[in-house]
Amino acid sequence: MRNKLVAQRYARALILNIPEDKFNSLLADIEAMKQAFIKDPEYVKSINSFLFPFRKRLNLAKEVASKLNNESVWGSLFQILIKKHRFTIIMDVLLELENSILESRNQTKVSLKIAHEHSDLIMKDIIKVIKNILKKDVVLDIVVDPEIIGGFIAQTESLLIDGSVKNNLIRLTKVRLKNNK
Amino acid sequence: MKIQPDEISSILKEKINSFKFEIDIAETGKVVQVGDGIARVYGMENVMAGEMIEFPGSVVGMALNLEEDNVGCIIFGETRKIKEGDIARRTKRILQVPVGESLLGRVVNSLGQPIDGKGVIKAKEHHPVERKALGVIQRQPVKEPLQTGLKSIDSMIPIGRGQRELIIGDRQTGKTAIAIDTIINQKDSDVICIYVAIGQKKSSVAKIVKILENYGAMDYSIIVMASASESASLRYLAPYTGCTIGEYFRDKGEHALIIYDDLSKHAVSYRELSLLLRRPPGREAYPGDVFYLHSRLLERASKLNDELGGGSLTALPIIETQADDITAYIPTNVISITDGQIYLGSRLFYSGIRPAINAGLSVSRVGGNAQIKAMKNVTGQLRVDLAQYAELEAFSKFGSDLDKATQAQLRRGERLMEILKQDQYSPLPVAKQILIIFMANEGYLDKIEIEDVKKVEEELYSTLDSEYKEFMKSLTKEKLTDETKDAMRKICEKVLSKF
Repeated sequence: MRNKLVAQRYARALILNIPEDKFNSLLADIEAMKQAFIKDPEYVKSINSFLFPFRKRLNLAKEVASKLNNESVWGSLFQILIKKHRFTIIMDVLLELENSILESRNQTKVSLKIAHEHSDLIMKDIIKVIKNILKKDVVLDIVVDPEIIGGFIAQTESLLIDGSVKNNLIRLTKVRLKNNK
Repeated sequence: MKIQPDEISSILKEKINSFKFEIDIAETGKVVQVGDGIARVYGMENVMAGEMIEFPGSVVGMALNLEEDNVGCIIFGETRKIKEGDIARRTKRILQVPVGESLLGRVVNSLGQPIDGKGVIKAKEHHPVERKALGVIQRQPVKEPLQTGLKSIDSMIPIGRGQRELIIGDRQTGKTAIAIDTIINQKDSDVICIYVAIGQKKSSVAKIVKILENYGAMDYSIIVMASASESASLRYLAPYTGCTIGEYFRDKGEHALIIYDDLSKHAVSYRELSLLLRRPPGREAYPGDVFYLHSRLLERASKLNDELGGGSLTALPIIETQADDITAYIPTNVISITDGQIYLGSRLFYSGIRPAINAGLSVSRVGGNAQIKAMKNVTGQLRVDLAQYAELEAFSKFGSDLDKATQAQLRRGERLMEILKQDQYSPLPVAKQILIIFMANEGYLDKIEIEDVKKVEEELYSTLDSEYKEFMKSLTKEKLTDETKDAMRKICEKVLSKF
C-alpha cells in the first residue's frame, strides 16, 4: 500500500516535468518496460539487490535507459530509485504514470472481457456503451473468456461494468428465489 | 395436487420474458491485504463508513476505516475465500439485518441468519444495524415497571421499561441467571425478549436455549449468538443486530427487553478489531472510541412518547469484573452510561446469598418512578434496615454484649436477608413479593427461627394461591390503604398461626 502511494508521488513529479508532446513516446517506453519487466522479473530484483555492486547496478540501469526514447528521464528515475533502494516499485510507478497520462487526455484504461471474438460493429457498440457510462475515451485491453457466456465485463481501476449473460442469469436466479420465498 | 409441465413452462416463459437484461455498474476496489478477519482494499473512493462491501465467494464485509490510501474492512465470513488482488464491490447500502415477528423463537447469528436448524426466516423487513438513537422529543420518562420476578431487584432496584440497568459482577456470581429469570418472568406480560450472547461458549448458549424452551419462554424470545469461536467482527456486530431487532418491536408500540451478555467481551472484540485496523491504542489498549461504542448502543434503549406508540426497549447490559474491581475502564464506562447498576458480589454469592445482590452498591436511578405504588410503600424501610444490619453485623463481630435494640435490629436484618434469597428459575409475582416483604418489615418473622423462614414463606405463597387470588390482583393496582394493610396483617397472622 505504501509502495502505491510512493509510486503515485513519483508519477506526479514526472508528469509535471515532462512536456505534453513527449507523452506518446513516454507511453511507448512504458509499454516496452512493462513487457520486459514482466518477462524477466529477476531483473528488477537484482537491480535492487545489495548483492551486486552499486556502480554495476547503476550502469545496468543506464544501459536499459539508453535503449528507450526518453533516455534522460528514465536514467534519472532509475538512478534515484536505485540510490533510495526502491527499484522494486518501478512497475507501480509505470502504471501510475500511464494512468496519469491517460487521465490528462480524458482517457482511461479498461480491461474488457468478452465471451468470444465479435465483429467490428458489435465492438463499436460495446465501446459506445462503456464510453457513455465512463464519460471518457477508453484504451482497451481485450480478453476473451467463454465463461461469461455472452455480453461483456469492463473493469477500470475503480469501476466494474458487468453486462455479461452469466451475471444476468445469476440475477434471474436470485429474482426467482426471492419470489419463491 | 397435480402440476402440469405446460403450466411450469408457461410460468417460466413469462418470468423470462418479463426479465430485463441489465448492466450492473459497481464501484470496486482491489484487496491488497487480508487476514485475521480484516481486509484492506485499495480504491472505492466514495465508500461510506459502515457500508456493506461484497467480496468474492459471497463473503460480506463492512467498511470501518476510511484512510487516505485504503479502506479497512471487517469481514463477516470466511477470510480464506478472499485473496490478495480480488475485486471488492461497493453495495451502497449500510449493513442490514432481518427484523420482525418471524424471528421469535429463533436463534440467529450476528447477520440475522438462522443457526437453529429450523429453516429459513421469512422476514418482511430489513433494518440497518447502525442507527442513531432517538432524540429527546421522541422520548418520555420511564414510568412503567419491568418486573424481573426477583424480590431484591423489584423491591430495592426497580427497573422501568425503557431503562438501561447494568448487571455487574465477577465470573460465576449469577449475572446471566438474573437475566434468564427476568426473561422467564415475562411469560404472561407483553414484553418481547432478546438475548444477545457475545463471546460465550456454544454449550452455554445451548443450555440457555434449553432452559427457555422448558419454561416456555422461547415463544416470546429471540437469541442472537456470536460465540467465542466466531470472528471478532461478528462478535462486535451482535449487540447492534439485537438492538435493531428490539427497536422494530419498540417502534411498533410494543415492549422489548434486550440483554447484552456481555459487553466486556464485546469491548475486547472491538479492541481486537481496532488493533488489527491499526487504530491507536489507548488505556488498557482499548481504542479511543470504546466509550462511544457502548454509549451509542445503549442510548438506543428508550421509552417512546405516546404519539409514537409508547413502545419501549429496556436494556440489561452485563459486565464481568475481575476480582470485584468495578473501577476498571470498561465497568466505569458502562456504569456512567446506564441508569443504574445491579452489583453482584462474589463474597455474598459464596456465603449463600443468592441472588448475590449488594444492596449498598446497587442503584436504580430512574426505576423508582416506575415502581408500583404498593411495592414502594412496603420497601421504604427495607433499604435502611438492610444498611443498618450490614453495619451492625460487622460491629457485632467484635463483642458479644449487645443491647436489646441492637439484637432486635440484627434479628430483623437476618430475616430480611433470608427472605431476599431466591432460587434460580423461580421468579415471583409482584403481589407475593409485596406480602413477604411486608411480613418481614412488620416484624412477623422476628419470632421465627431463621431456618423456618423459608417454610413460612412457602406457606404464605400457597395460602395466597389458594385463597387470595383476587386480593393479589388488587394489590398490584393501587396504593396501600389502611384497610389493605389490615387485610395483609390478617393474612400474615393466618400463616403464622400454623407455626
